[in-house]
Order: sequence, then structure tokens, then C-alpha cells
Amino acid sequence: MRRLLVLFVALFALALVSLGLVDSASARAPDTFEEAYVKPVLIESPMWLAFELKVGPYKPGLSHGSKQVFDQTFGSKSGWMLNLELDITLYHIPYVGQLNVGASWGWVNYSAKAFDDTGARSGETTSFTLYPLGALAVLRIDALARNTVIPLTFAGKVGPEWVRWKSDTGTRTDASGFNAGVRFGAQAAFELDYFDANTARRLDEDYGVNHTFLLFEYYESSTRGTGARTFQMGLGLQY
Amino acid sequence: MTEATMRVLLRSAAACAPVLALLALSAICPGLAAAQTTTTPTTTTMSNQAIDSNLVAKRANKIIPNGTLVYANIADCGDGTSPPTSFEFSVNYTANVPVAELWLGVGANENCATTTNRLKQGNGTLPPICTFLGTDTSNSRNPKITVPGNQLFNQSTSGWNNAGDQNTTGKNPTKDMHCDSVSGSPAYTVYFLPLQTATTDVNGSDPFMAGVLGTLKATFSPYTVRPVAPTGLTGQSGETEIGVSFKSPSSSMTLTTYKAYFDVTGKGGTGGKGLGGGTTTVVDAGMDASIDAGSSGSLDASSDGAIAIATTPPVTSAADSADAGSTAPLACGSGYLENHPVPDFNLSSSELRTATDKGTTIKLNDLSGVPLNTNIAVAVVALDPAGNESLLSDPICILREETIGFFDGCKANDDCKKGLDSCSFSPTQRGGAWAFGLFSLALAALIRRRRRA
Repeated sequence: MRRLLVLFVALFALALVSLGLVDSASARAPDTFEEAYVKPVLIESPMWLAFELKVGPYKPGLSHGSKQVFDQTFGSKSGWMLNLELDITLYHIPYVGQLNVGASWGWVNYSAKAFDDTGARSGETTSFTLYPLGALAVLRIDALARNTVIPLTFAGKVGPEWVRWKSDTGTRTDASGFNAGVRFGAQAAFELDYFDANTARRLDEDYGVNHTFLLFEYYESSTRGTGARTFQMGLGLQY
Repeated sequence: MTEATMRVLLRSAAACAPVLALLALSAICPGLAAAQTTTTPTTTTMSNQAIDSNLVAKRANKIIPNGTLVYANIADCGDGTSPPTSFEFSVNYTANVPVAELWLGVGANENCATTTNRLKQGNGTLPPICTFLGTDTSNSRNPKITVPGNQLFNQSTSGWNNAGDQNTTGKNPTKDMHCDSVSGSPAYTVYFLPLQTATTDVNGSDPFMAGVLGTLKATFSPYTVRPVAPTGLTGQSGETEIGVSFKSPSSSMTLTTYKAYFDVTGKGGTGGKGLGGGTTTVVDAGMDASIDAGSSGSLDASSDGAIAIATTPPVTSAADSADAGSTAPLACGSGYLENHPVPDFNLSSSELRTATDKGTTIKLNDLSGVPLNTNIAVAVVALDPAGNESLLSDPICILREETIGFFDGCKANDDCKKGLDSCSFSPTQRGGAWAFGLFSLALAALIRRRRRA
């Protein structure tokens, strides 16, 4: 019985060894391309700039008095502001994102018929135009997009802002000036690479555009008389 | 028949083939054969003629520039008080030309270089397809032909078709002196032809043009119909500028711009008479209007080729003095527009100002010297490419008044005024500046640390 047991154990061990040899024998040289194919490591082009084009409603005047005058002249509706922003990356924070400095330029115009002595609308046009200029510090966090399948990035912005403004009536410039304050922004962006990675790759190889994204940004300007809290939407590029 | 004989016969046949063909043709078409044998002019004066210089066209003694399209207008046709514009055509040749003739063809089908179009039709009872304009029989090297505008743009077949017709009684010269009513199309083309003999009185013969000379042509685009006046004027009052909007006339005529006349004297006020009185001129389809001729262009000669003459339309053109159709009193009262013909460019611009636009709203932003609360009478005319002006539209009055803009309203509100000082700082700017400063310091420290690492 003991001998049978030893024989059984020896046979079992021999079987295991045999299987191991077979397994080692199956680790042969790859016979097909699919077996030999190793997914290449994608290397992006250097990324140092970001450009954003945004539009959003804007209604200046944080104080009660200026809001009242604005509504009386131009109505209660907001105008649409066009905003351009260019960011330069100072430092790539590993596994987090980029630290940038940026500059923004905006434009928005309001116009309506001026009033006559009786308070009725005349035939002449009065207008109010704003040109917000900002210098920003931008922290862009793209860890989710780089390290997971979630194509979202986020950004926080802060910096001084100067708003050049001008008011005209007919062919006459009534007044102009400069308002200074602080600007804040918080952005969420959806990377379009998610929809077509191959096209995104080609954009990078051919034009150096690393990423494109749709953005939604909360915008706050504290400039007196011309500031507002609003939102903007647009398109951005990183390259 | 031997081979050598065959070769001789073949060579002979080849040599005689042209003669045989000609004899055959002569049997079929005696005239054709005759023309073929008389291709070379026999007179030495017109042999080997050459053009020494281009066809020169002048409009009121001003050379029409090369490559310009001439927009002839109503002024070129003259009216009862002003004579029609004189058009002169001349060419320099290297030898004498016995006869030079000027013919008019209207549209693409009247090619006056074709001889048959210059011959009388109906066995001599009907005039030619083309219209005879004039002739030079001086047998010189520089023939010149001058025609008035009311003949140049007149293709009436009741006269002008024979030399001397314009001086012949019974040809209804008064009627014939009116231009055709056209608005830019069809094109009016004049043909300057050097000829051996005159063709206007030839009946049935077939005169030819001598030598290598080609037909020289010039094309005009006449606008001899006055445009229709705009309607439905509405005004926009203001302090620094006033405006007038109107409806474009429904006519299919090509219009280039609109011009508004502003009587800034303010003599009208409200109420009183409107236009329709004073010195008015009845206009018969625009033919009797007093209009200045515009700028001119020149012609470029080319042999047997169309000469396109294109130029910018005349800059100035007068309109008639009155709206003959408006007789009812108007709210916009008597002022400059009523008592003076429009335009009268000899008068000061401080009384009458104009503005033009291609759209249906015209603004006047030169209100210098015009007091506030002045009622300004405004009338609008339409202009065609030749510079012809329509009659004045029914006028309206527009008030120059003081206006209150956005910033005026803001100045009246203290809170708003603080926010829109010429240089304003937000209360939060200080805190923000500190935050930004700290942020910048932290950033600089971070970058420096990374560099050391």
C-alpha cells in the first residue's frame, strides 16, 4: 500500500513536471503578428500654450444705480460678450496639470435709441462698449483626462482686470474711461479627443494641437460699474 | 496608254485644277467670281491704308478715356434751354480717306459693318437697318464726324438717314431730335467706316471698304429715362445726426445710389406750403430736364472688334426743380427746397446739404451751424448709373433736437456716476491684488525649488 502510495505520488509529480515542461514548451516564439504586436507608447508633442474662444451673456453694473440706468436705456436683456484668452504654461505639475499665466481680451456692445426731452425715444443711437482686458494666473488640472477614461479637465483663474469702456450718442463720444478690478474664473472642459482619438493624434502630429475641448466657465469681474457675474461657453486648444 | 503618258496627264490635271474650278464657279455664281477677281482696290489713294492712331472720341470736347464705358444720360440729349452734348469721332490714317461715315447700330443684330445693313430696304422706300449719323467727304487723312447727343441716341427711322435730312423740312425734325427712351440696354454702337464712296444714297450697289482698314466701333450705354422717385419717407431725429429712411421705387430700372437733400435753413417750420409751387418745370419723360453732363471716357480702336468703353458714371447730375405730381400742402413747410431748383450748386452749402447712400437709409451728420429745434426739410432722389436723378420725393421734416444718451442718464445717478468715472477702481481690487501678489510669490518659489532640484 505504501509502495502504491509512493508510486502514485511519483506519478503525480511526474505529471506536474510534464505539464510544466509542456507549458514551457508552449512559450515559443510568436507565430503571428498579433502575438508579436506590442502596443506603442504614445508620445505627445510638447504642450506649452492654450487658446480659448468664448462667448456668453454679459450685463455690466454691480450696483443698483448703474443697473437701473442700464435697464432704462438698453432694456433688461444682456448683451453677448466675445472673449479670447491665451495661456502660457510655466510649469507642468506631474500627475496634476499645468500652472499657466494668461491674457484675455473681451468685447461687448450695447446700443439703443437715445431719449429726447419728453422722454420718448429719438432717432439717434446711444451705445455703450466694454473691452475687458485681464492678466490671469491659471491652474489647469487634467489628471482625470490623462490618467483615466474621464475626458474632463478643470481650471481655476484669478488676476487683475482692466475694463476700457466708451459711451457714444450719435457721432459724439460722451465719455470713456478705465475701470480696474479683479477677475475670477472657474472652468470645466470636456476634451474632444474622447470622440476620435485617431484624429486627435493626427492633429498633434500634423499641427501640434495636443488637445481640443469644449468649455464652460464661470466668470466674475469685480470692476466697478462694468463688472458682472456670468458664464461663458466656448472652444479651446492646447498646443 | 503608257505609264509615262499617264504621269503627264496627271500632272496636267493637277496644274489645271484651280482654273477648272474657277470656271465651274463662274458658271454657277458669276458675282462671286467677279468679287474674287477684284479683291484689290484699283485707286491708289486708299491702297495699303493703315491707322496711324486710335479712334478718338470726345464728349463735349473732352476725350473719352480708353477702355471706358460711356453712360450717356438725359443731359446728353439736351432740353429746351440747354443744347445736347456734342460727340466727336475722328481717326488718323496714313493716307487720304475719300469718305468716312458714322453709323449707329442698336443691339447685337444691327451690325453696321455689314454692308447690307447700311442700304435702304424695300427697294429704296424704307430706311436702312442701321441709322446714318454723319459723313466726312473732305478726302483727308484725319476725317472727323460730330453728332449731337439727341441724334447719337436716336434710332428713329423717320429721318436722319440721309445726308442732309436734319436740314430737310417735312422730316419732322422736332420729333427726331428726341433721344430714344432707354435705360442702359440695348447697347448703342457707332461705326466709323472709311469708304471708297458714300453708301447712304446707293441703291442696290455693293460698295466696299478699301484696303486693310477695319471698322472702328464705340459702344454706349445710354440712360435717357429718368428714374422713379423713392416714396414713404420716414425721419430719425437727433442731435448730432439725423436720418431719413424710404422705400425703393418699384421700377425695374437699375439704380446705383440715393441722394437726400436737406434744407437746413429751417425756414419751413411746421405747416405752411409744401413743394409744388414756385418755379417748377414740367418734365416730359425726362427729356427736357436740365442736367449737367458727367465725366467722359475715351475709345480704343481695334480692327473689326468691339471697343468696350467703360467709365465711372458721371459724378454730378441735376434733378428737376419740382415734384410736379405734388400739389397738396405738406406738413413740412416752405423752405429752401420749394423756392430753389434742386440742385443749385452755386448756392452755399450752409443752406442745402446732401448725403448719399446705396441703401434705403441716409444720414446727415454735418449739422454744424444748425440750431437745436430746427425743422429740416428733406427730400430724396434716386440715381441711375448715368447719374440721372429722379424727381424729388415728397418731402418730410426732421427735427434737430437735444438727445439724452446712456452716459447722460448715468451722470444723473450718483451711484452709476461713481462706477463710470474716467478712472475707477473696484473696492475688491486691493484684496485681489494681495491675493495675486501672494500667489505670484508662491509660484516663483515653486519654480526656483524645481530648478534647484
